Amino acid sequence: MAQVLDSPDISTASDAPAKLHGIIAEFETVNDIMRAAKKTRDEGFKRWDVHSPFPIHGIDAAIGIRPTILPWIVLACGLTGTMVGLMLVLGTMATDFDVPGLPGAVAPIRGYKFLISGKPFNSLPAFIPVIFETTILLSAFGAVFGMLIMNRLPKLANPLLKSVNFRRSTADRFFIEVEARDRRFDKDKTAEFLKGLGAVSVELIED
Amino acid sequence: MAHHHEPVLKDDDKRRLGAGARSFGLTAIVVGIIALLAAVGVSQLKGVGGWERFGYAYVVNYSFFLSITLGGLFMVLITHLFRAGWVVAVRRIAEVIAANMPVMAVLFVPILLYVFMGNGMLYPWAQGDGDTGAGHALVQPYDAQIVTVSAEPASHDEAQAGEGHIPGHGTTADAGQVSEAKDAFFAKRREAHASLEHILIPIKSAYLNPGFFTGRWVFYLLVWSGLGWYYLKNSVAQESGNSVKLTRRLEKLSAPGTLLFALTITFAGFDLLMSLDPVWFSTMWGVYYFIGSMMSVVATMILALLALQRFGYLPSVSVEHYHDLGKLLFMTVFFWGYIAFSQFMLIWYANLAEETYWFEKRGVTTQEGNPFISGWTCVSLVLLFGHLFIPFLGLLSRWIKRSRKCLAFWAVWLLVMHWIDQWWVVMPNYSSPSVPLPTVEILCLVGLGGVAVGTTVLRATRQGLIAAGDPRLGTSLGHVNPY
Repeated sequence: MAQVLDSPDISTASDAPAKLHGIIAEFETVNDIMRAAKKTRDEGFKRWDVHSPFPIHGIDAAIGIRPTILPWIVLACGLTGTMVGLMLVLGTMATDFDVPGLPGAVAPIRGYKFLISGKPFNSLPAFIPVIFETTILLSAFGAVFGMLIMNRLPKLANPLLKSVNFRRSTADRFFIEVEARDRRFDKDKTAEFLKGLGAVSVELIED
Repeated sequence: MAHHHEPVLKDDDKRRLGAGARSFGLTAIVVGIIALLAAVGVSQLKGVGGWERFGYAYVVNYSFFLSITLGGLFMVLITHLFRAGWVVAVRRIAEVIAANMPVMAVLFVPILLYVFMGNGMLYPWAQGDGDTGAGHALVQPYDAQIVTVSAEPASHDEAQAGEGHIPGHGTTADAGQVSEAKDAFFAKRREAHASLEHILIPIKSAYLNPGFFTGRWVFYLLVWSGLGWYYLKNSVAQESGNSVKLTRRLEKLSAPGTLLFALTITFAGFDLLMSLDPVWFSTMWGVYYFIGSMMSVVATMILALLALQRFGYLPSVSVEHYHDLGKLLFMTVFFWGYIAFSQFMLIWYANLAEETYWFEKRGVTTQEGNPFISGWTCVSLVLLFGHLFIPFLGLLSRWIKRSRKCLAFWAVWLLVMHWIDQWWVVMPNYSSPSVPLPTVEILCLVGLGGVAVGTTVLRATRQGLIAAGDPRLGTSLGHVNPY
């Protein structure tokens, strides 16, 4: 694998004309990347990101990341879990009614109605652990899968990995990546803009 | 990873509490003592309940303020154990609260007096002079009694058993007879719980006796006072050098300290509250008391910080610290509900007469012949909603935890709920199903509150309000919650 990764030309194997993925600009220090990120944010770009070898305090605000809607997804999933759990226990333990079907026939709907130490069939205290668990389960599903979907994960390959320079984003360099699908993106103007921010190198990345 | 400049303390952060705080503390103590005397006076009025009523009212409030003091000690221990950075800027508040334990030790003396009066007024196991062992005419074990009672309605309908709480109610001709037998049974049980005539009492008397009780409390109070004193002393000593070495020493002590704390608070909860009904037992009781204690200290810290900042102290304490305290408050609300419900559910499910009786007295489960209604039922529902569901939803959002006004509201709300919780735990042992109007209890609240708050404020004037020598102070001041 190491050999393959070391070869930067691997992406040109296809004959089809390569589509532009975006532009990356390389910066040397935290202060540089913070200043550049704020300017990029103020320029109005939406589809862009910062890559850094370590977390930077305050970078979220510098990029202008808005609060995620993930908590609302988790809340909705959790409430769904509560209802599912409630219907599960009530349905299996305490149901007892007839559904009118074809003329002259009724479909009896009966729960198991286990008699446990003389308690009512419909005993909420005993059901709460089940309801609690289904709430937690669906909340966790909502959090994990919601996060994966919103981040478009799993992503098996990223065009940025074709860039040799970009490898230093895990060691000692900071990068701004502006994607070609941003509405304000213009190959030449954006490259000029990023150079103007003090980037040590600017590179076009193809898909 | 310090790629930004670490913030430094402002001058106002190092400012000490002044003469105003000292006179506030002294006033609070005087008001407290007057209120305590008033509580004694009111309790002696006709029909209020005399010394017995005062004793219960005192335990309600002693338990309330002890839990806050203990919570302070826990915050100090656990944050040292975790080497927590964020807490350093606000930790001195918890250190001072914990260091007030000697006052709580003095306030424990009236409870000891009740124990040594020997008439079992407050703690039924403390009556008599040690003859609680063999020789007492024991009533039958409960299980045998239950068999006798429930054997009577022989014709009870199997198919209907799950539909109501009381097996066979209203289905047999001798229903009246059955309910009479049950009434007698419950009356006997009520008596047995209040007196020594229960099979469990002589067994428990090896543990529940005045001598051992006193010995245990001396040990608890020494451990708590010693730990609280040691942590405050060394935290202050850091300001004049050796700060890393002292932090290492405190961190080292926090592991055995936490272990000791866990054991002592568990048994203190058993002794102070659970043994008010010497028959009843719940192994979850220690955790229940502990989580109430942690919740109340977080609420107290939030309110203390807000009060101090209002007077211009601690300007460097930021919304990030409030956010973290808010998260802890939210966690403790839910953990309280988890523990309280687990305790209830296990007892409800196992359905042992010794245990369910405790919840019957509080109107949580059916009262025989009077299903599910008593004054205490309302209090139980207030706890279920006010201590769990409403604050859970109220504290769920991030912006609420970052809003000082909202956080102040919930801190006050939860302290009130914590008091109602202690009241609900203690007072039904004195009176159930009727709920006595909490007059003496509220006077005692003002009384013990005045003394405890006043002495804590006086303690706080003796050193700075921020752990200025802690090597993690910079981390704490620059702390940011990404989420």
